Amino acid sequence: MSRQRSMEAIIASEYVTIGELVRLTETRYSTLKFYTEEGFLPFKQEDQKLTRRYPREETVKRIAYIKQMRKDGKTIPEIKTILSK
Amino acid sequence: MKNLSLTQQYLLCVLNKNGKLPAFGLEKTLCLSAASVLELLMEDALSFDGKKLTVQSPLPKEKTYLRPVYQVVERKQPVKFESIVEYFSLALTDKHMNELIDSIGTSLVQNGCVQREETGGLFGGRNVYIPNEVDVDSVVQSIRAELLEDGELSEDVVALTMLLHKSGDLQKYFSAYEKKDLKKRLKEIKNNPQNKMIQKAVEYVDSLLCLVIVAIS
Repeated sequence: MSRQRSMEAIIASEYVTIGELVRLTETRYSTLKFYTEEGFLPFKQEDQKLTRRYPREETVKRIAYIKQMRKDGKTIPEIKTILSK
Repeated sequence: MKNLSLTQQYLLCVLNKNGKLPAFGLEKTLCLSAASVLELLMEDALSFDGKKLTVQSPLPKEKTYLRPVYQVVERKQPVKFESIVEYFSLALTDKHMNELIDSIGTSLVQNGCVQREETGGLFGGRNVYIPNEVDVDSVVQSIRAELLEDGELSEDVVALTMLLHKSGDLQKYFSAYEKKDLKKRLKEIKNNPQNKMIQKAVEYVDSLLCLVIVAIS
């Protein structure tokens, strides 16, 4: 059975899990899950029952961008429109 | 999020707002001792032959907060898992448990996750460790993310989940809607033969709890 990855190992890897994204971005799990379901955060999943893998660099930047837009007062539908462009 | 270990995360989750373990929280002290032994086993500092614990390698530098447990195993080896848990959690005084909490608590102070304060007392003050809510929430969010998602769980998360479940601290992190998924996940964990060591640790906690209940009644 595997051990939990250290922050150093997470920061060095190309893909991360949603749990690792929680740790990396200090964002609530339910928020990340919602963003994923809304299609804000692209991911890879080899099989429906397997862990979703998010490209670390791109996703961390994307979350920071969404957080900034929320700070600027943008609503979720507005963010959705911006991100889909 | 900070790099916190199984024992550090467990203590952070069970400390109350006053920085103490609840007065009638025997399950929590038993689970804290069990978490310390499990962490030393996962780090290969201790080994377990199915019955007894022995020291396998020197205590890693970054695990010095587990020195109280490591030293007792070193002194008493080969020693039963439950004897170590008993030594810290079921002694006549809180001395050993307080020593363990102080050791782990100090490491949490160094990580910036708790604030240490001293409470006055007739026979000298006692340290309390006030948890930083943001850090507690980080741990909780991390557990939620692992348990509510598909995919394999890490050994650390399985151990933390089982111990928090045993001490009655897990359910509060999940909504009524999520509890169905949680129940399914806990069943999976219990039935997975790879989690045998962790299961065994929880059984030891259970049997010690039963002993205490019988002794009281």
